[in-house]
Amino acid sequence: MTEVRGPFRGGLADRLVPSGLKLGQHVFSAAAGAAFVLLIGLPLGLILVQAFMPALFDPNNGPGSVSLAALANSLSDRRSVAAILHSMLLGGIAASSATILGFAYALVMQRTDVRWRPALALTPWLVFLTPGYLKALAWVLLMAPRGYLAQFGLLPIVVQHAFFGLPGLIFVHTLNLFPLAYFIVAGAMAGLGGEFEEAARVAGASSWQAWIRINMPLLAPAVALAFLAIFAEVVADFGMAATIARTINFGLLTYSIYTATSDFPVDFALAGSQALLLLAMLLVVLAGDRMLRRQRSLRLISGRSRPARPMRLGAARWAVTCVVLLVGILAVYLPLVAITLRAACRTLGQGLVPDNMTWRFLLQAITPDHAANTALLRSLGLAALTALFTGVVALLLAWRIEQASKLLRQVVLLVAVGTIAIPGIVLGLGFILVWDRLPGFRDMPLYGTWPLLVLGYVAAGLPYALVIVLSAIGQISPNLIDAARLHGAGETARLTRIIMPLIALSLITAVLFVFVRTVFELPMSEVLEPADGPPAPTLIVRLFGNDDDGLGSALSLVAILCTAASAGCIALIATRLVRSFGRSGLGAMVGMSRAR
Amino acid sequence: MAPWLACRGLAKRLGGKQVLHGLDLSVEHGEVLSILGPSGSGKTTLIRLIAGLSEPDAGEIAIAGRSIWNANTNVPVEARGVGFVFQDYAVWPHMTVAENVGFGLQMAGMARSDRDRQVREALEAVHIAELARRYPDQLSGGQQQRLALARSLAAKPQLILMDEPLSNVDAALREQLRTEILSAIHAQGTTAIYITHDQSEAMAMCDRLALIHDGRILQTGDPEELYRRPASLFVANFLGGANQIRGTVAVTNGVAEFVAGSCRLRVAGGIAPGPSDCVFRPEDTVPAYNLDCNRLEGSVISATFIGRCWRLSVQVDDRILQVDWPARAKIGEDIAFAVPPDRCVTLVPGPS
Repeated sequence: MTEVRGPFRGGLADRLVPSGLKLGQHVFSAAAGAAFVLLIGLPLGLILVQAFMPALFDPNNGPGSVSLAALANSLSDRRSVAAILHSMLLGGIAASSATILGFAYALVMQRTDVRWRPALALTPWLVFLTPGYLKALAWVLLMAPRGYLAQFGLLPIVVQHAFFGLPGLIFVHTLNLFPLAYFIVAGAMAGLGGEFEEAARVAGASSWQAWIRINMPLLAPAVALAFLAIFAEVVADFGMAATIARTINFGLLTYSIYTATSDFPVDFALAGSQALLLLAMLLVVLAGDRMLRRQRSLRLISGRSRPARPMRLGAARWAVTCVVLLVGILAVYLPLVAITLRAACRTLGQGLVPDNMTWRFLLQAITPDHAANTALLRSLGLAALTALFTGVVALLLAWRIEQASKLLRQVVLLVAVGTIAIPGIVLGLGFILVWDRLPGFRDMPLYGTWPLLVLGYVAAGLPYALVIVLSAIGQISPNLIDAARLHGAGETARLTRIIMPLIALSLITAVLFVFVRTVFELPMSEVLEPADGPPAPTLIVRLFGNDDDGLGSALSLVAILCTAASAGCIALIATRLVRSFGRSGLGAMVGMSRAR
Repeated sequence: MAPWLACRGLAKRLGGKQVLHGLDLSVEHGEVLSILGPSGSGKTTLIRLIAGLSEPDAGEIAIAGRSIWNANTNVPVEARGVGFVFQDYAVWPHMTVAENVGFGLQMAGMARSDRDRQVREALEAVHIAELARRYPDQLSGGQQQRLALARSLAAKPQLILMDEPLSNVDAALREQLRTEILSAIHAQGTTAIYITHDQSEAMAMCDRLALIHDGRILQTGDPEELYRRPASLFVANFLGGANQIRGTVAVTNGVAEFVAGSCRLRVAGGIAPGPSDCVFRPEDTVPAYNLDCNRLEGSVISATFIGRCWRLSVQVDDRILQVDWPARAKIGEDIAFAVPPDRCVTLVPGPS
């Protein structure tokens, strides 16, 4: 007779396990909570407090009393009001145009027999993964009076004038953010399938009527969601505000917050109240988002359905393909080409002639100890550190949350999605307040060092990683984990033997996403720049600002290549490795890789 | 003597609904008990409480005379050593068949050589030894089900809980797997609880049957006993469906007779007179010429061929009764049938 496993293998010891576990759980939960508070809660809290106590961190008059003076000031100061209005105006228009473009892109990709579909489907992802401010800087190279388009005679002077103004900002934002609308609407269209439309056709509606009366109302919530998401992105954006908008003197709220904290005299009270207004704006958007997501029709169309029959474009097939291709060219390929060309040219104005070609900038970017190379290596190193750290924290947090009550999970998910909406510049301001001003924290020698910058990066990247990992864990059948418990697996064994192998690809996706995002993260890099030198994003923007755009382009190009190569290699190795031991259900589980 | 597994007064609320109402259940050592009930009756909740996958609000669970859950004690899942076969199998997709089966043994700290042997034995017991190196997605549904069973048998638990393990398997394979599961469990001498909502499966898979409804055990016993002597209308209806007529039992000269309108049925003795429901099954009816009592007449309103006979819906007075008939009958045809007295079950009417 072989050993029989009964209920009392460990006797008393077994009964002690739960209380021991509970103690560990409490300690862990407390640590996780503390990390969340330190990284996000405290910085945001200080901004809030300071908005109503403007003199809180005033070295001469602080802490002062409660007053609405700062808020009133930011709502009456001419430049501040202009910045608010500009942000809302730009947000409204760019969100509309990007939503329309994204919708059209989704429609063509989902419902027509357009050519080169796989290649065209890749475009939105490339656009999404390349930083907006780099594309903005590239467009400046293209549109400048002696820029590339002018050199090729492709640029009417009217267009050029218009570009350096609101229309140009709208143009660049639209091309940069249409992928968000594309992802959301294409998802909804795929879920919608063809049944509803076919039922309408059977009932006697024409194809056009079916679209207007059936498909459009069903897709409306998704379109509205896309609009809100893009509006939030535009008003929270720092990259365009600090590059293109700054050069044309179009003051935006995010840049206004930045200048209030960096230009002399520093005005934290103004920055704080502006940050609060920005957060309030985003809160309204988030509330709208939540309301929309509760809509019934959105759930109705998320079920499994038969794909719709693609419409035959016939004679227009090539024309449509070319238009869609043109969107991709304008949104990502042309800017990348511009940066590549500029990196290899001595000056912009002398054009693409052999005499003007040089390897100098690219060589500088890869020469050890050159400032550009140092900044690049610094960014790659910090980003790698951030990504690994964020991955571990996100995994442990997600695992803890998953085991907690349903309510807590909902709350944390909501907070995480909410924090994604927090502009980097606001979080950065909060970090300054905590680590440069708050007694107890300011005495720690962290402000102006790279560890603090990493903390800032982690705070900015954690919500994304958390959302990816949580959704991956959420897709594992609870029975798989229960089965492990029933076979005697404790907490650690369940995490390492069951959860981690099952979500490995999602975890790697999260880490890589945070890595790519961090290499090019601008606002945190700007406000928490270490004393021993700037990270790459700061240096790139600075080089472009100082008319050193050749080196700036070379640094951007090398950074893009390094990031793409390292992330690509890891992704390739990871998918090979994971595929070799995990075979079932993983495909579906890995489907979720979008952060929002 | 106290039962080997005893659940006393188990109560559980889930999502604002009282799922279990002070439920009592006992299982003897080595016994296979089927728990049969409609969906939402609390079957799955009950075995999850026994496994430790969720906690009761009140009550007690004891195995072999020792409490594994009460107000003060809670032996955690991983220490209860209970086997569980999930409805969706829950085999780990990232492990091979052998790794799936060996996982629990590894967790228990068993040496490699013993482990390999026990894994092989478990796989042989369910006839999938040759698939040891495959991954679950390379197995058919039936093979995955065998793997799930092997995984829970390998650790040789004293108690195996099975949550509708055959509901995702096609009908032809189900019959075969029933026999295999039962013989594997009996071969190991394990106590088992088998949950299902399928009455024929429940009857095939057990030594004893318990019927659960609305968080309470309504009746337990030998499957035939439950079928022949249902204790309530619900049990009668759920186990195979039955005709029911409401009326009165009168006892004259020691002979009990059930009366409802023109319908008079002699019923088995020992019944108290008074209001009563009379229940009989379609398959117990016979043509009237085969029996000299309990004759009922009516006209056929529908007829369906069900294989070994025809099932007729017959209008008798103001009620429609189901009758099994040896030959085809025309719609509107008048027929006479009878029910043997010992197949007429009378029940004291419930509130409904």
